[in-house]
Amino acid sequence: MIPVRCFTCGKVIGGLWEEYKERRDAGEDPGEVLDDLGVERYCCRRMLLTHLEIVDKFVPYQ
Amino acid sequence: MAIEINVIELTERYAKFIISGLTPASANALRRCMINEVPRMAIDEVNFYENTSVLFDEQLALRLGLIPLRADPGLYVLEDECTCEDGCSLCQSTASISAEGPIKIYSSDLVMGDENISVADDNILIVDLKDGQKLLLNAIIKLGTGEMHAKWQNAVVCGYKNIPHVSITDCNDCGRCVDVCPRDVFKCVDGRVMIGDDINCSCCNLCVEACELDGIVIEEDPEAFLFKLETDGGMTASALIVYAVRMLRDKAVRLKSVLERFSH
Amino acid sequence: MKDVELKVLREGTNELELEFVGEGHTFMNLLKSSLLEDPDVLVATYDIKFMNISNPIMYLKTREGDRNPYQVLGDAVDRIITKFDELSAKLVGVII
Repeated sequence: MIPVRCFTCGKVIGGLWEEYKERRDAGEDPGEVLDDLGVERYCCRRMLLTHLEIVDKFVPYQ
Repeated sequence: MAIEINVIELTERYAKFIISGLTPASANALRRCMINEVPRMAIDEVNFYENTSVLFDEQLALRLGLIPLRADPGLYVLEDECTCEDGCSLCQSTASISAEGPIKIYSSDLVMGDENISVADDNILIVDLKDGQKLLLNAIIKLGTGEMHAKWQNAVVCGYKNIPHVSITDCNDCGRCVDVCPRDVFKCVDGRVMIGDDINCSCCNLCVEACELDGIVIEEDPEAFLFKLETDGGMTASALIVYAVRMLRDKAVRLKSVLERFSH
Repeated sequence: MKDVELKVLREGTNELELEFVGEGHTFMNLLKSSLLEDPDVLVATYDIKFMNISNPIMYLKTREGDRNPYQVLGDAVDRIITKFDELSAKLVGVII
């Protein structure tokens, strides 16, 4: 699960992850997707760029 | 000096404007007030009845707290200013979630106890419930200010700088300043160096150092401020500015009335 | 809104020491700078001894004259009120 807000500045980025992931997987340039989503500062950009979804790997060990 | 306001950009959640004719102390008070003192609603306490999701109770509570809620701060009172002892309908409201997986719980799935409160963003993923996982919780929404916790902070970003003025006193059109400026303040038109948008200048002085003739002067206007303000949707940018100005004024008025009692 | 709570720590003909309960830098710095605009003010300063736990304490010393320190402080507050009245009047039509 992506954090709700950017750790550094507090911008809400929780709602952007799914669109970002979809468009990134469709082959778009991640940087351009972020520009398009209005994620301007590099603190918020790293939140999405470096996020890894691990829920599905966790579930078998619950 | 008379106050003047120029709006450069104003959207629902973003404002960029110039206020001139203000003392640095007033501008700073306005900035601090917008960040720290304007109250807002946020989830503060969560009662978990059942949680078999992949996240711990604490992590879920943090995620819930950080979700921006849209509400008029005037509808509720701060907890420690309320007449009640441990919570009443004047100082708090509720929200709840009841779900069983497989389902993705979004911020829009929060069921609010008060119809005047809504989530600012509908699509924030709170938790991904897998097959058989259950979540049943009741959250208490309270009014608070940014000095208590960042979740009650209205302005995500709020800052200002003095308006810079760049001028060229001597020039041989060598173009070094054009190359060196990271903010593209200078531009080259037909081989002549001109000043473009000097409002973007960050006063890094790279151009001053690069200029062989020492012909560039950067000055800052001490009484004009370029404000940048970004909110998370709990309040519109314009409402936040108006609210902060009114709060500071009201505080001064209340101090005035207290002082009048003292001086007699 | 909560009332502003003042505690008088020292009171003289030309000086005043006040504790502003629950205030922070936001308002105190504004008040201090407004006081310093007054030519009759000799000293105006404040201190928050331990951040987050202490209340700011303001010290004010004025020139001898017809106004006592309370009136000087009152005039400084008046200047803040007029300034922010002007600001909120200017906001109408531009921001809202």
